[in-house]
Amino acid sequence: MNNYHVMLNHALKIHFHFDHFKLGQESVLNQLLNHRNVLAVLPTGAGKTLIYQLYGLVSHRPVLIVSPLLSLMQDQVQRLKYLGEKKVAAISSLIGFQEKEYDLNHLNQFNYIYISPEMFSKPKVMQKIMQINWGLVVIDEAHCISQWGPDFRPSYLNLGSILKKMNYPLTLLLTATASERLRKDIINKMNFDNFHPIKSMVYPINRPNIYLSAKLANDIQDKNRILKKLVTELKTPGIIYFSSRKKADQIAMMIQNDCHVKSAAYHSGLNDETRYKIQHQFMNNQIDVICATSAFGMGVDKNNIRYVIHYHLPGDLESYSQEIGRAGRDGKQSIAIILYCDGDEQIPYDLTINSLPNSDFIHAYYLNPKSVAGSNENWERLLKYYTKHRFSIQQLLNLFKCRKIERQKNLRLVLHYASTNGCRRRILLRYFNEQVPSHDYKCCDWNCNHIDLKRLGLFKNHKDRKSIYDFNWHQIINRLFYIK
Amino acid sequence: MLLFFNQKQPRRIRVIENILTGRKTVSTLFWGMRYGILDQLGMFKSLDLNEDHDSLKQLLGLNLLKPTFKNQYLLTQTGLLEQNKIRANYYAPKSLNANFQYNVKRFRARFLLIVQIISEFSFHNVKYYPLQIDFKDAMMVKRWFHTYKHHQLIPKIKHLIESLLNQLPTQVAWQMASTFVGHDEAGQTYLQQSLALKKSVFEIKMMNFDLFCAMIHLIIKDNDPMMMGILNGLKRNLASDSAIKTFQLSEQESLDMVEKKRHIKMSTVQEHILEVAICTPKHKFPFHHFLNHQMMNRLASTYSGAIDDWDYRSLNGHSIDFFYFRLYQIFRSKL
Repeated sequence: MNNYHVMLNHALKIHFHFDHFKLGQESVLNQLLNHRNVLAVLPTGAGKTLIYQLYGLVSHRPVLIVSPLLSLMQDQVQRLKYLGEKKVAAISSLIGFQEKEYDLNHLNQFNYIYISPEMFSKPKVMQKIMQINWGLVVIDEAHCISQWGPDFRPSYLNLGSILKKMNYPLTLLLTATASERLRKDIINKMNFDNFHPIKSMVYPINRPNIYLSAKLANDIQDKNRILKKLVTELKTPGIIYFSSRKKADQIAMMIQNDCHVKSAAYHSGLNDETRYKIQHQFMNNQIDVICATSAFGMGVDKNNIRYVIHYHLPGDLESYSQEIGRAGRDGKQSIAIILYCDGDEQIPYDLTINSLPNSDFIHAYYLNPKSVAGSNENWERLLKYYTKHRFSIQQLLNLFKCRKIERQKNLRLVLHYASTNGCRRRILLRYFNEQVPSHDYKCCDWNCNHIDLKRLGLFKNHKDRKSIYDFNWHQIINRLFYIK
Repeated sequence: MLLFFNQKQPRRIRVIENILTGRKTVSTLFWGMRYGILDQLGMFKSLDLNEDHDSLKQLLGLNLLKPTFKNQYLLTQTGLLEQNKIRANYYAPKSLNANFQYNVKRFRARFLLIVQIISEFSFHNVKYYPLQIDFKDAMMVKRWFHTYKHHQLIPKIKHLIESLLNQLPTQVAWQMASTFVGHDEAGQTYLQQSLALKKSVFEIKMMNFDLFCAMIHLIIKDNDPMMMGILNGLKRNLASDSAIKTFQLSEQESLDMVEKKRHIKMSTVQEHILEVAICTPKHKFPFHHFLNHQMMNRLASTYSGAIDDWDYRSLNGHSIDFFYFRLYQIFRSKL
């Protein structure tokens, strides 16, 4: 196997102005340049985008990226453009008809194409995609392939047969989180075998610079009190995650009023312009705290986030480890805190129940799909896939029952993590079959009555931000346009 | 919301919502015209109806509104006093009529992107995240920028903005200025502006919409080909293309022929014509083409007083179709 160390480091310096690769990046690139398929499990913030971006640059061949999250795709396109790569496009349901047609008719002029799995499965799109000799096919968030994964997407199941039709192009499967069972399932579903081998490269998810904590509140009022105290005392910037948009809006307002920090809500209910402004204010340090739903963070490249607080329980440890991974990318001490009170598990539990069609719906759909048309698009999409693949009602009921049980199990693990009297890092890392380092004061809140923010170096660095407006519009206009 | 109600004319909340969110049915357009709020058509694409129903309950609870019949509401005496109080500090839009002729939403999106591009250009910066707007409009902005970038673009756009803002009260001008995104400027969201100006998000949005309407008027008045270019392709008629086609055909053909040629039902033909009549200034719509003298006289002798109170059933025995009755109402509304 050739080693491309010198060439890769040179390219890294020239294109990205970095002196060193992050853990895993170079090894994965080496495998790809030796034409080996790779399943890479890299933690959040490890720089997964750089891998395929650099591969495209050094191989001078087009890269196709299958990505499940529409908004993330748009963010990544913007980011590549920002970094100077103009020949990049996203083909998804988010873009208009004209733009999509244009992109599809000029596919060979792009260096990077992002595509949603749903779009990828469409015959017309498929036909255009097949005409290109792709240098690399990347499947981002590859855990979506597995039914055991936290966010299974049926359209991902088609990808195995599509790759086969494309005659097995060089493939890179990327995920931030995959237990051994999940990895095996992914490889199996993608039809990799001895004839078409794939190499698994797993890197540790442990982030020693993130202190782990959880706080039990008596009720919602108590939870808000604890949150306010934390936000008032903690070093900024920070992110607070919520399961509901409405709550994110409310708490953002509460924090702004009561904690004298600048905060804003960020979720998919806001329009593009507002999201743009909030995201860039946060990047420019004009906002201290973002109250977000889980959509926020992916594609946000902010290194100095000091804390991630979960106001609602996450659904599983996989997504939790991904979301807290947005803190402390600069390597400096940071903190992740879960706030919960009795009954909080009901929210992710309800989300679990509501994400899968119930028995009545399934029966009605099988009898006549039109009878339930428009009542729940997600359920319909799911059932459309399974009926197409000839699942019987009984098979489906069993499958969904298993998935519900699986998710409840995942939720119990989160509860165990949040309520433990032991070392939280131990629980988290054991779950991912990782080695557990010895516990110290920077590890987690085991045996601590309160978090010593001063000792951790996380005590507030910001002065109270009071909003003072002088309404001087001349200054704004003068700042906007630089005239010599 | 209280501002949308009147002490004499009972108003339907559904019509108000449909006008603001831009849902165009002939009935909505007609009543929108009668309420005098047609210029606000489509101003808020995403109005939270639930929230508004809550505020409706509140207004009823405070005895500011009273129900009349069929989900219609009248302003009470207390409501009128409250409305006057609000109006005293409320932003009064002045330029909304641009909304009749131009697609203000698309103009706003283009203009924001233009300001951002020129701002970055003035700092010689090419590495930034452009605002995401509709593909077609983004392409137009790109072409426009490349055509004019060496034609004193930076001082010209700055001057254009300043000449608008100079005419405005400080806080209103600040609202517009802080909407812009540019080099190291992330701009302010409506919510942030509403907190700063201590006004509701609703009022702020309306103010912003009106200011972009004012910008359109200013560009047209200046008539500089460069700035006029921003308006390319944004001219519109409030009536739908399909309605206009039907109307144009009906000027030359009988309604029966239009029905055949357009392959649509007679009721649709009539709805299309009503739509165009509502959306066209009175002197530009040929009411007499559809309403002959005899019919006009009959309608005029049957109806007088408040147009909203006219009852079609009063025409009993005259065999005049509802279409003509409605068209006459529109005609009289525009007197």
